[in-house]
Amino acid sequence: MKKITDEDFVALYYEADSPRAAELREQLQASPQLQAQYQALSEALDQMREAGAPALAPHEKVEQFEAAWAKAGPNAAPWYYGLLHSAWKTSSVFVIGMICGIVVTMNAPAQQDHKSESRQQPVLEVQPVNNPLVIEQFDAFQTVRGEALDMVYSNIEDPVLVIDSSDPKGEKKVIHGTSENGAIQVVLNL
Amino acid sequence: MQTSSDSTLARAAANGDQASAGQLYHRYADRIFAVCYRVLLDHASAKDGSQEAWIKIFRNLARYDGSKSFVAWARTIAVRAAIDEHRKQGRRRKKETDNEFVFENIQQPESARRQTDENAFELKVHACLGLLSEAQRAAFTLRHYEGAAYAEIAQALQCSEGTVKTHIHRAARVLRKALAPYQEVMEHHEENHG
Repeated sequence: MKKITDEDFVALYYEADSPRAAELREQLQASPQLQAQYQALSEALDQMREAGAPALAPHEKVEQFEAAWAKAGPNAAPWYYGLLHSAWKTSSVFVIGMICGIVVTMNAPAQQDHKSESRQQPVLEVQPVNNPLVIEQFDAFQTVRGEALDMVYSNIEDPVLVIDSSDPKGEKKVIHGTSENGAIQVVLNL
Repeated sequence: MQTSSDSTLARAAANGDQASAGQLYHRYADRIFAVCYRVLLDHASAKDGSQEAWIKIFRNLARYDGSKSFVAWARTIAVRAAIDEHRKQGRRRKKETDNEFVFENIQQPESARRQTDENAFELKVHACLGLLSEAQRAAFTLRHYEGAAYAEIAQALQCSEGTVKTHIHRAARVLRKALAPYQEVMEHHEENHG
């Protein structure tokens, strides 16, 4: 006698009229244990059947039918329209992406050149000193003027350094200049 | 009033007759929705799945062989649409490989005894279906609730009849184990109140 398996129980439940089912029933009658096992299975399956599935509400059905018919009925767009539309959207995004990528790639070296150029330029513009210092000598007096002096004494207008070497004790250095547009005379002994 | 046969309605609907399509829809809307619901186990997903199924049904009406059962043809489309919907959502309520682990939790007699009313039983059945894999649920739904033949289920699931039988007997085993504590509770309940 063939041993009964779960598959046999399922076959017995679903195919009660099959020749195998008749054979199984005979085996079950001879074994209360097998009968209990089969009963447990059939009760479980019966209970599964008793539990119903929910249904769509009437208004949901109307909406669903109208939507489905609109998409699939004779007035609907061809079924491939959606695919084409989707493919068009995808390809257009791809092409736009490619164009952006090409533009960015082409601009990248130019940007780099611009950066390298900007690196070569000084951060602060420095004016070249055309006439740094003009030194004049009058006997024991030496005068020094020029842009270098203007830069050092920027608060004085037209500063002139006078170096007096006439005194044997030592030379004297005096800055002469003006401020406030020439209104104030400035003399600085160095 | 004489009712038109499914094949007559299908032919008329294929030629663009909305009223015939509407009759077909109202005849089988609940069954198609139920198939989708038992595979997807969620109302909103089943609504989406069944809508997709109806779109495919209406689009393919011209290919329907009127000599065969309309509902068998339609539910094959429905179960495929439900599976597609399930895969599209990439959602699984229960991990298929964790069935044994879930049994342990479900077989707790204490937790089972707390749920004795019918509503709880519906939830329990729902949970039990959730223990099955997508293919097991689809095969079980077609066999158990729709009475579909193994060959039809195999065609719907695009697998062999042997695989379908395996799906169904595994599903039955899972359900028997999961519902065992319930049967005890229900019997106890009936003894006390019957």
